[in-house]
Amino acid sequence: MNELLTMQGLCKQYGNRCVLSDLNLSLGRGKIIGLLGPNGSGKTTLMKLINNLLVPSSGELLIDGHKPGIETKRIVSYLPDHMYLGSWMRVSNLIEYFADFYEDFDRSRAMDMLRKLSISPADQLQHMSKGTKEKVQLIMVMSRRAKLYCLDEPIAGVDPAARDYILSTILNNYDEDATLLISTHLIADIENILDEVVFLKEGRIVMQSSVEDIRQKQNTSVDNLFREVFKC
Amino acid sequence: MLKKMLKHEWKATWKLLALLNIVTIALALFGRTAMIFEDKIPPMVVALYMIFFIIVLIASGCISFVLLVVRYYRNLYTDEGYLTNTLPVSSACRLNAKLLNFLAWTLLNVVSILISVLILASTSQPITVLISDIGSVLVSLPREMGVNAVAMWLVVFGLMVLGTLSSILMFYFSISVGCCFNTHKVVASVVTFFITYTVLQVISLMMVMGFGMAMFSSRTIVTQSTTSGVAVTVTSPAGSVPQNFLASEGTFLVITMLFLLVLCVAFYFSCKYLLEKKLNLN
Repeated sequence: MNELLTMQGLCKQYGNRCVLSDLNLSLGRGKIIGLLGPNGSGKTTLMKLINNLLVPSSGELLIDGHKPGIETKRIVSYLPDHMYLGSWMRVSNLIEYFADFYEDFDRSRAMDMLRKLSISPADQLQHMSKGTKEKVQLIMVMSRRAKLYCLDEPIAGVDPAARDYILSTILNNYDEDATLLISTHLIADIENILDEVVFLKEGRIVMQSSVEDIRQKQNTSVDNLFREVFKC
Repeated sequence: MLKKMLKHEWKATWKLLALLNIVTIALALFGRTAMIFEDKIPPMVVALYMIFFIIVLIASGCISFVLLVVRYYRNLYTDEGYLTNTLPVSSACRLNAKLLNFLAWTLLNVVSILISVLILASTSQPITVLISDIGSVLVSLPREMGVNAVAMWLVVFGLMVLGTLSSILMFYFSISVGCCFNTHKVVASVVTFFITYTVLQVISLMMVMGFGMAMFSSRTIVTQSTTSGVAVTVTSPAGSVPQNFLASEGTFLVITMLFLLVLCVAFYFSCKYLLEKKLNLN
């Protein structure tokens, strides 16, 4: 079974509002995949469904052959689009927390990344700047040796220098056979690292293609294609 | 995993809660020390201190309760929930850790309040005497009521534990239901709490009334001898005969315990189900 993530007829509704409808998708292993779409297209909802933070209204979602649950949480590392760490925590608390619950957490990798940023384990999150907190959060997520990384808008709202740091952290720390699913609408910044893209529009998949195909067959960049597909 | 969850639950809550309990005991110690100079302190100051002390005792219990309820909400249903709910642990484990931590802190809170009261009460008598007085009351009270001491205190203890547990779980349940809504989750939680509370009050009232009516209808025929030697038969409500009354009251307490147990089970499994199947972090 080469597919790491499969979904069939996946729907999510909030009351009468359909946020995701009839998604059919298969994602392989060892790839960096861009989940691209404008605001409100359902990217975050899909990320939450993968991470069992929402329950699908209908359809099936399998990760490495399992429905979202304890088994899948062991192999999926998730970075939400906002801060989710308790501000009372110190970096050392966080390391202990991740090490206690995730068998694949690599403490030395985390310590190494923190040292490079001159962040002390004794530092408290509430005394850090927003950017530093985001970096700490990313370090925790990327210090896991997961099979699937779900990064929801990892570079939104940060300055270009921080974007470079985040992207290099992502690229330098994921295992080759792991899959990276990155949701964003800032395509130009991540286009160069993507193997595959999935375009999401109003809760539906409008395109799934390899970046190479887009460049060679359609003779355009992902950024330009995105602008065409999502033209207002 | 429960051990690890409990460890982190404890680490996240202990500082503020321990501080509250320390303040309570420190205030009692301060009062006890000041009472050495009771003759020199105006009675008004002593009265004000006592009022303040009672307020602090009540506040420490209430604040602890509120802090732990808020912890449940924040840690599972707000931003922190994105981490807690993506941990590879079962929903039962997440719930049990919160519940056990809550019960442990409730127990510690009760102990610290008892210690504070004992410290302050030791102004008039040594603590050892007070403790032995309490011990003798625990033994003599059931004897005077004509009931088995072990059975009575077991029922009282069971009622206290189940009462506390059901209160905690009712808050958990209300939050879990409220957070199923897409918007206004806190308002929905508060409304759920008041609806649940009202329904439970109505059921309790109906139980009390039903039990009272059952007692009233089972009148006992008692034959009494008058001073003139003429036997007179009177109809007496069961409740007026001490032994029957105690037996009935015992039955009522056992029924109350069963009712609380059913509530705890219903609330617990509802919370578990909502956390597992209806999680709605948006």
